[in-house]
Amino acid sequence: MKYSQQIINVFKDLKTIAKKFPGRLLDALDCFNQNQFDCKMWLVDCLNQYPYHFKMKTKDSIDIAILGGWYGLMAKLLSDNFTLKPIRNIYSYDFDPYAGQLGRILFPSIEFVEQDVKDLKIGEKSFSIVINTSCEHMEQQIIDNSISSAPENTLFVLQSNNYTEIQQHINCVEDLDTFVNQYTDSLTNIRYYKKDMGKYTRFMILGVKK
Amino acid sequence: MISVYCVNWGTKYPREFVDTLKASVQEHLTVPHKFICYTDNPVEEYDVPVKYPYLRGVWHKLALLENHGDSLFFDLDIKINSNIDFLCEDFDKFSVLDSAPWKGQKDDAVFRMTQNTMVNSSVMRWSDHAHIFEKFQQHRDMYLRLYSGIDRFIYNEEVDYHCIQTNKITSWLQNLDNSAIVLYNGKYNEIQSANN
Repeated sequence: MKYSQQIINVFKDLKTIAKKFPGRLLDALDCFNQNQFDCKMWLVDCLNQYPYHFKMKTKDSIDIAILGGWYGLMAKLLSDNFTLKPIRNIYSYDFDPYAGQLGRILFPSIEFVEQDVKDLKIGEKSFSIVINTSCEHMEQQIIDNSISSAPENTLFVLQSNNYTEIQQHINCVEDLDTFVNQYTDSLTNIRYYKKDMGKYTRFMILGVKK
Repeated sequence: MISVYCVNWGTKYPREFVDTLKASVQEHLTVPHKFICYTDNPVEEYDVPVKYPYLRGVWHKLALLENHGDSLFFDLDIKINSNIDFLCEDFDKFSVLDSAPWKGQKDDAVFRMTQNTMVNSSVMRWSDHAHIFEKFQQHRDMYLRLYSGIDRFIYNEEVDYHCIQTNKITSWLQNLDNSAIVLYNGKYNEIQSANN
């Protein structure tokens, strides 16, 4: 690794977080661990292979929503690597007020919104893509509502896993089939994937709101 | 009539710990009371099934705060040596223990970064404090991510707690074992791992 200005900037940001939000420093470091990066880059790669959804669209640029966006890693990776369309705005939603306060230090270009996913009125927005990589953390009703309230043709990208050992995981799925079956009534053109993470398997589907 | 609670979840503590605590409370608390054990394995008539099966370990202690009325809670790894009637006051405040006597005052960078705590919930006292558990439930996912236990949650999340002011409760870490209540906080973990 070559020491560079980018690395200096990262250390500077971490120092700022340690000073302003000492209790969140370890949590922030967890947010940017290898697994988080791998799963989210996997998402970006698969999303970039889902081009036909955008072929007929006339918008010059699109808005993307990240549900449960934490400190903004998903938003940042999309911002840097999404290739199908120019992005107008990426909104990273999280009920945790510190998510935005820390996220803005790290990724100033991302639009952090302090809002609970269950209170988000997706139908009133103009998101072309809605991403939720935290399905295992959310009650199914909240996920279903996010889809049912979205306009037709909104592209949803959802991730979950079978890692039931983690206490926060209240909505794991046993396997990929189970995960897909949860959304066959609400989404079409579904593509599905799984990724072996060692201790558990991560599942992902991409599908368009019917 | 006050309620005296304990929690026995999982396999960390054998059933005998509950029996011993119940007998100790019976012997050393003269105030009329009802003993209740919240557990995922109810076997006795005083056992109550845990209300939130998706919670694990110590978080069931926090769920007890949903219960109204003058209440005391004791961890299973405590020893009651003498009368504990002194605890039966100030139920209108949510009270826990101050861990400074055995931890020492800590407010360094590592303490803050690890969201450490200066309170201990081996003994709790309350009457009408369901709002504390409601606060936890509202953003449970985040709190479970941030805190390894309820002591850290109580200390770091501006919960309106008070510390029980007494020298009759001590920890084995202070090398005092003749107070009315001695906490063996963390001690059983050592015994278990030694046995294993």
